[in-house]
Amino acid sequence: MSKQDPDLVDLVERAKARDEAAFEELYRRYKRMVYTLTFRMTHEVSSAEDLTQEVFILVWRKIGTFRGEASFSTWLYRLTLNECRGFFRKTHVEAKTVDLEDVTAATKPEEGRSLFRSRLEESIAKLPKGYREVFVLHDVQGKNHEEVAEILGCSVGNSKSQLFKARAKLKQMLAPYYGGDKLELSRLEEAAAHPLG
Amino acid sequence: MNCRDWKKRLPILLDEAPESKERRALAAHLAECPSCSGEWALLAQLKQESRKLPELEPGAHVWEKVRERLQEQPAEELQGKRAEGWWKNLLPAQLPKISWALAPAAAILLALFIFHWRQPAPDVAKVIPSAATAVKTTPNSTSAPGIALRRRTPVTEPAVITRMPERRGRIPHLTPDSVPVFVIETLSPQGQKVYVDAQAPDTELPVFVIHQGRLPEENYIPAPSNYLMPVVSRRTTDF
Repeated sequence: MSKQDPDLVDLVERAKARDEAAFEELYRRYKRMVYTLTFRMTHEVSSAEDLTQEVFILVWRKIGTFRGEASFSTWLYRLTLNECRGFFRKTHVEAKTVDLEDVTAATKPEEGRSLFRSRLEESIAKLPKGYREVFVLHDVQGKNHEEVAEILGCSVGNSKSQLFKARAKLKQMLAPYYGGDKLELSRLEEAAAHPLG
Repeated sequence: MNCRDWKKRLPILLDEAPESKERRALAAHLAECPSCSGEWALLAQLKQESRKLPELEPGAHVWEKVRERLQEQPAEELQGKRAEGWWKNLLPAQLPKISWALAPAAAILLALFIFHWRQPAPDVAKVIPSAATAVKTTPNSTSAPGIALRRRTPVTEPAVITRMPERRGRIPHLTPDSVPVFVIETLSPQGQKVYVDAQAPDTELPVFVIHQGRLPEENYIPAPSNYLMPVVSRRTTDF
């Protein structure tokens, strides 16, 4: 944990010593990260909230085992994804259908939020879990492949391969809306000119 | 590359630097190919919009529930649950992977253990009635002690002689005190020599022949390292 914010190191150490105020501060800092990830994985507000709750209970219980070899956020991502996997195992839920209302309610859309983004949310929810994990971590959360590999306990090559398959699958899912005649050419061309945003 | 090849490469090339050789080749292709150009634009927008997906905020009630649950759980339980993972700090981070790698070996060991356990129990009989008679080396001694096969450590206690179960074949069996032994048929003292007729398995183990377990270590007689004991043998042993 040497590269981390000294304030965070202090918070973690205090939480290890069962300081509830420090733990509350950790919750305040990381609740969005955990909730966003659980929501993107489950696409259900209630499940995402339950999972967020479970993750932080686990953080409280297991923070003593956090050795600081990985960053705290990597450790937390790992814990969160493990909880999500456990959730899928228990419920046998594979998010094949998505309630768009659930998605929009959760994401509190701003005015003029693009239809593309809504469809993208829907399509992410339909990805196979393995693809979804890598896609969300890399393309949504902005982690690099080394970080993704560390979080998921896989190789960098595996992370890349899963990501490319996920993108290909998403392209396939979005093509009926944005391919051929329905292609929003002007916007897409603009995006093509600046692919990295 | 034709269109099909380019289309397969598009999701990968999205992460390539625009000035790279392959991206420059792609740009040339896209200028001529509306189909690939449309797909590329879609992928580019996909990437751009993915980064813009908003970070979400859980409801305030989530923290309330977390706090309630922390207060519901007795401190000792939390401490216990925390303590249950303490040993993990001592183990390498890659342990789960190692564990999975070792799983086949563990399964084989378990199978071997079960196979061994299912063998008939050896017929254990105390052949040496007492150390006092057994250790005698006088020519008149006709006691019937055992001899023991050992790998490394000397026997310091009177050994329980275990008959070799027939099904166990030619492998020396371990006594309950972990001393590999076999049954002595006769012991015939003649002068300073004692002839031992023993029914023994063939073995390539380093063999030590001892006259009961009470002799000091220097009196152990090591067999040659390549000694192969016949099924019925006559060993000459000086005591």
